[in-house]
Amino acid sequence: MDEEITRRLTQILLQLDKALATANAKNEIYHRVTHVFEKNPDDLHFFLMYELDAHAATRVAISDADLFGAIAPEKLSLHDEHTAWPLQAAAHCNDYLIFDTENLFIKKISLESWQQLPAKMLLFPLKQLSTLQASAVVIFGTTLSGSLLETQIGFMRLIAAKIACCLQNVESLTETRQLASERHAAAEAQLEHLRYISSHDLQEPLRKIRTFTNLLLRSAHANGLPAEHLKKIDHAAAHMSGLLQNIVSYASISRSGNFTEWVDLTSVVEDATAAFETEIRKKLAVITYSTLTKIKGDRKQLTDLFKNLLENSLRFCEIPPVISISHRLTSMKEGYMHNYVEVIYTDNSIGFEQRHAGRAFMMFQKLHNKKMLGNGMGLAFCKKIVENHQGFIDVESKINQGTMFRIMLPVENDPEEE
Amino acid sequence: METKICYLIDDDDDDRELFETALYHVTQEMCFMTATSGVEALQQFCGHEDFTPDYIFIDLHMPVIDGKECLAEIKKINRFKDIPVVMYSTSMAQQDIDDTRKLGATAYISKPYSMAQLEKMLQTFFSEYNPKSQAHG
Repeated sequence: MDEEITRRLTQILLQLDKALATANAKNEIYHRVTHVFEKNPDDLHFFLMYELDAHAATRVAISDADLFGAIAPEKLSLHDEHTAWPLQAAAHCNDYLIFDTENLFIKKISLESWQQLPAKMLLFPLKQLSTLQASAVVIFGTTLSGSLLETQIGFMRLIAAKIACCLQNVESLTETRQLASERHAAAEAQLEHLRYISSHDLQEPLRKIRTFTNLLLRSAHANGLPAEHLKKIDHAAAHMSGLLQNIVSYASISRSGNFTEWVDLTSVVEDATAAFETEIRKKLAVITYSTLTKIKGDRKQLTDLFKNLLENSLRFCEIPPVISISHRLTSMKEGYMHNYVEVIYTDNSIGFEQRHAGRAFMMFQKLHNKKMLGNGMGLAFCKKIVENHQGFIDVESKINQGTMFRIMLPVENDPEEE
Repeated sequence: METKICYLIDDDDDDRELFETALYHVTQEMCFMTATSGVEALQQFCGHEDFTPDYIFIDLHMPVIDGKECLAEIKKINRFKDIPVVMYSTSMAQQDIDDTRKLGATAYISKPYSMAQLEKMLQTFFSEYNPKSQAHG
């Protein structure tokens, strides 16, 4: 029988290892731990106990880390005195949730009701978490008579530590995220201010340069004077004004990051293609794409992404453009943190030297000579949009051999399928 | 024919000058008056009961009282209810256009990049809104 328990504990530990590897929220951890414990049968019962709120979490820490050590193995037999441990731990908390995995119910218990819990229980506080909000207490119970072996208790500790560690990671991750999002909000506000300045205050002097130049041009014209230089001033000011507008549009690609709308990438590509219908017909372009997947995202931004790619392909092709868009789904096994849809976009454009690839996505960077007009913004927009969707984009190109963009966009993944 | 009064409220010296030049090219039969702030304009409007311009142009971005507030205040004066008030601004933000329309602005003109553009806009506007001749007709 002892072997059987040990075997199950090992099994649980392995299952937990797997189940918790990708958990990234507190609730997810609870859910998965419960799921693992549910699968374990009959004579070995597990109760997961979670504190109710952050306040309680700090208080549960009273039963400090030494509790493990404090329980002598011989005391881990099934005697009444062990209820003293949960009582001690509970003495400083008002409420606990007990998850009874055997009967599949969650119940809230108070200090008094500790006494009514089955006596055959061992209490493991997960960790001393005096500052962290994550904390849980795992209670192991067994209906067996006789003592648990030291190895078995060792496994229980490992299991408890595993869950604790996972909770702690998630907690610090949440904190990091919170910090990051606060910093992000501040940066967004600054960006918004810059955007306003660029669209108004910086445009203002340029407008005046152009209008007054215009007045000069008019009088030069009336008096038959040369106006070449005045025209150049006007062109330069107009160019500057256009650059500013580009910065404003770039900054206006709103950063949501929390997309709820399901967007069908096939229809996105269809829409983007439709926008260039005339151009496609004129250049005899051939565009092929398979049925793409759906992702959560911003439809307008994603359409702009493909529009910019198409615009580039159509502009930088000297022969009839051949464009193909395909996709595949990645799996975690490839070492990615999430599941992604990998969209491969290829064309037969004039291409560029691969060593310039890094510059391709920067604002105002042009990898081609001036006669191929472009504002140097297209790929910068693409990168920003993809990054807004928590994805990434890279490019491979060879002169006269075309260009390939690889766009990775996260897709929702179901942990149960792992 | 009675000389009409065109009144511009704009804190920017250059813009007032450009506006005047453009207006002069469009028509020489209009009297051009300016105020450098909403406060100045409102003092003038409220202090002289017999003074009512035929057209009012307001710059959107001004210190102290901005264009929107100025517009709202002007529309509170009874005799200004039917006077066309035009917003005149660099910003073409839809929000600004919607807001000022709700406050009773007749039109929204963006500050242009060339004299020709401004002249054309003024010309179009004056031919569309001709309140006194309508009243007489």
